Amino acid sequence: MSDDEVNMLKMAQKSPKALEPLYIRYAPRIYAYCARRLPDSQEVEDVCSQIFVRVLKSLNTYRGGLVSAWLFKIAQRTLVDHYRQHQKVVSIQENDHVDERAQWSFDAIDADSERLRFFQHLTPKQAELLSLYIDGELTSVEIAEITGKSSGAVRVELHRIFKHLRQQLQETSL
Amino acid sequence: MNNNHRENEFFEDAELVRAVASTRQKPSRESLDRIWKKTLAQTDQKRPTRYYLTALAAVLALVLWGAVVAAYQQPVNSLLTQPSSTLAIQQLRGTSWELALLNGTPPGRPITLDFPLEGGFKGYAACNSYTSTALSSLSFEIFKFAHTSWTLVGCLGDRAQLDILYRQALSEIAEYEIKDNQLIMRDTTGMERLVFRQPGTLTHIPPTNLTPEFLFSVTDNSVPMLMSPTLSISELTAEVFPLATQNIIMRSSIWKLVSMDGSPPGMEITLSFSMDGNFTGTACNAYGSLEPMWEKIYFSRAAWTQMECSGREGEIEAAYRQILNEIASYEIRDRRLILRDATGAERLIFEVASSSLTPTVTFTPTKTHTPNPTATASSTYTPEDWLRGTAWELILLDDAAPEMMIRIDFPPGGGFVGQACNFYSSSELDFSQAIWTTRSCSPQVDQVEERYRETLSEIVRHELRGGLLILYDINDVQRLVYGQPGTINHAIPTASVPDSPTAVSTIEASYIPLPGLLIRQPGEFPGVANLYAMKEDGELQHLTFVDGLIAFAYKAAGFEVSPDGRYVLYPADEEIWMLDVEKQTTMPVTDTPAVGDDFPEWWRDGFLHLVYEESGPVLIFNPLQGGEPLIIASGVDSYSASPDGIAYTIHRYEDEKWQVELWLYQPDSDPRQLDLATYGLENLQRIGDLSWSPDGELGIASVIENLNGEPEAAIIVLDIDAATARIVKRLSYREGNHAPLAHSAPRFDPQNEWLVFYYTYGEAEDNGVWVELDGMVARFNTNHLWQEGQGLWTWGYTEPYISSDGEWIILETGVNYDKLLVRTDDWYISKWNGVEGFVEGWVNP
Repeated sequence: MSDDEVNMLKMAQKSPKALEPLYIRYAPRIYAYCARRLPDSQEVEDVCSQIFVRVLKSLNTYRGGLVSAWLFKIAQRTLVDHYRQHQKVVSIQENDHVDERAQWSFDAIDADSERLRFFQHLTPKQAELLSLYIDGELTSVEIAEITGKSSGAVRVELHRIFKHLRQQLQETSL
Repeated sequence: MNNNHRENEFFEDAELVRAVASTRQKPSRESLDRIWKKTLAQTDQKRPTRYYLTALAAVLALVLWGAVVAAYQQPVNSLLTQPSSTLAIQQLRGTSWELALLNGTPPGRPITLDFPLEGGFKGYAACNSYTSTALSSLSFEIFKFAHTSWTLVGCLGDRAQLDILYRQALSEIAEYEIKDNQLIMRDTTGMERLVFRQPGTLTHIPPTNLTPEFLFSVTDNSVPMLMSPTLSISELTAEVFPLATQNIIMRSSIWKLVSMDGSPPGMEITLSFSMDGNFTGTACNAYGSLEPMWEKIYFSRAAWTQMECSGREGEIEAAYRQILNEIASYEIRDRRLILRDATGAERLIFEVASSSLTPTVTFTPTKTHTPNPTATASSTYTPEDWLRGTAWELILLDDAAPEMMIRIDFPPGGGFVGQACNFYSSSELDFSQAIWTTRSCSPQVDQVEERYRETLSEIVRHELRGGLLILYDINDVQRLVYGQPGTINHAIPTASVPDSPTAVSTIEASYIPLPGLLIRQPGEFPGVANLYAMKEDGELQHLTFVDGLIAFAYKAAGFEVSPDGRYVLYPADEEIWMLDVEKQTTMPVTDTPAVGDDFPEWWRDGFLHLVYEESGPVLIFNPLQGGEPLIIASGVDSYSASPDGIAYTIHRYEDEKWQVELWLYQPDSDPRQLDLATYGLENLQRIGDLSWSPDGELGIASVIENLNGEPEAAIIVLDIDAATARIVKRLSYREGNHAPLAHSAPRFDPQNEWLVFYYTYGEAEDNGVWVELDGMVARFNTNHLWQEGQGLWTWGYTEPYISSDGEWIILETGVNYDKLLVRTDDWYISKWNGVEGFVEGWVNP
């Protein structure tokens, strides 16, 4: 993140098209984040579009902080809303305002799916963290801002996740 | 954050990370195009509705406003919002205002600001009228110069001065608030620049002797007309002026030309750099930048007024403009600003324009300690009120620039606090009654501080004029003059400014050798890095190449320098390694191949570290002088051990809650757990980044307590022997943020004289470097070091690394992990550049 991203948000208040550079930068990552949870590519595109529409509508609510974290928070909430509507999306968020029902639901997707090959061996919260890290390509600092944890705690948790996955890899044919 | 910042972030199992990443879904270009088009289409569809609702809301607001005004005859702003809130600018629509205070001083002439219902804003500024071209403004960006049209009337005397000061202030507004029927506008530092009241409530008394001392030096023959974007702009040339406004010593500095191509200029020519990144100046005409120039200054992009200048002055100005267009570099030396062209020739030499601030020229002490002449009968304003909430930096000490940074702040609660080398404060606005800390400083600094202390004790009254704070003694002699923080060069070490005539960039200008600084430069691949120690001359000495580091976005995990500075522990390849700094050799000091080792810390005659067993992390002590590893505790998520080997804290994270345990370790008996409730910490929710005083008797940490059901953040000091805890500073905290736990990283200095912590999240009044010395807590604002959005709201994620002699503090902060250097001799803060890589500590090679 740099101040150019903040400037992009400001410019986008005047013209939505000004958001395009930010879109180019983040859309592939948000797409991957959504695609981890949604089985249908058309659905992924729809949700991604909803996310960026919400971003454009929420520009005046940006109050500083990492733009990347702000975008992914919006992505999380949009996925939760989608879940509520369709009962098949997944999200994890520790904050109270997120619907507790919103969970990683591996049943909703073919469990043999390649995209869940590693994630189905994790708890929902671990899966969310790993998705932010792998799909969102976010750093521990950025994930910390999204989850409200310290980046040290994020780092420890990721450490554990990979250790757990390595164990699974060795014990099973993961 | 883009991938470049993340390339080093990985966990030790890189192969597994790649395997997981291979399951990531990548969108096609066509897919991304479809999403974007759909996004824009949906946004466009929503627009009419939104605009319709906005218009409807405006109509309703107008009707409501009219009804209420008619019914209650109250001013409109009483309806707008609660006090102390920052509003959307649209809510000002339909209001009119008249300026009551400009930079803390009554303007003396009518200055108005209206917000028509149809959008934009307009007004009259003592000399010229202005109007906004941005009709549907969303933020205070509209006040920026480029968005405002001004008439081009030339005015004389105080009207011209007011006009300039007003538009300067207006362009720097970042937020506003309506409070007590006043519209208060503040800049990014939180300073109240403009205070408006309802029209008709003010009487204006033109100042009798308002000389334009602040921005421009105006002679009888050079009337500064006002800049406008409609005026001519010099052709853009290829020359650039490197990174000048990034440099603190250029911020808000005011210069006077003393040499042009080797000769006195023959007329008064000034050049000023403002906090907002702009420059302005006067020759015969006035000139200035049209937009902030943060990275580079283009003098060739200056806009000039077009007043015809007669004879000799016209020629001088033309020559000056020509030279200005040829400037390619700068240097600041001996309080002089030297501008050079591309060949390195010194073309323009400026001196600090302190002469224009002498009392014989400017200030008249007529208004101090008298009621505000523009206030209404019911006003409660006094001169002290004007000072409250302001911060200042000393510009002149008995007519000379001080050789160190000296600050004075006036908290909203009254009194004042300040710092030179020591801190001083008073609960009353009585400058002679300041209480000082007693820290010993270097002889040179001591001398300046002592002069300042003596001078301050002789002050009997103060005055705010032209954006300056002036203090007078009993003989009505001006003794101290303060300006905005960051105003003047406070003797950056001479080593920082090379004497060579080549172009001087900020990188060189702010480079100070820091012997012993441990620098990590990431390698081409994740987890690979080179370690260096800085030598006396500033060169880097290669210590070792390391592989398999647990490296995060910018921080490699767990470099721990031994207390004597000779060894460094770090985790790599799932073991703990030790670097001998002098021999430049490394060796593994753990041997647990099946499990991961991490988070080493020096303790007793060995080190502690965490081992990630299957059952969970275990805290283990490894003696380096022989002996078996000793299990200290299980289920530990993090820990902190005192350097005397007596105490340690353990943090466990269970059921989504942190549990904190404090233990004392005695070699011949079992460890003993202390009850934190005896410290008055029974409400402790979380504790972050606990560290210890050099003698191990005091622990310092950032904590979150649950007080009356509400989380409260604070920096606390634990006294182990006395079993007490005291609060150093309460910090703003919002539920959901983990600040200040992740940011503040409080540390004691090696001599245990002071402690330092950094805070850069939350409310602006908390941001900056905080120091406690002799029981006084002072904040050093660092906002002026950053561009908007870079430092203020973003992450300061590092511990303050303190040199072994306590002379320097360095920390990395901001979105670009800029290095911020504090010279503790006089608490001078600047950015520090010149070395690639990241700071990992201080060693003694």
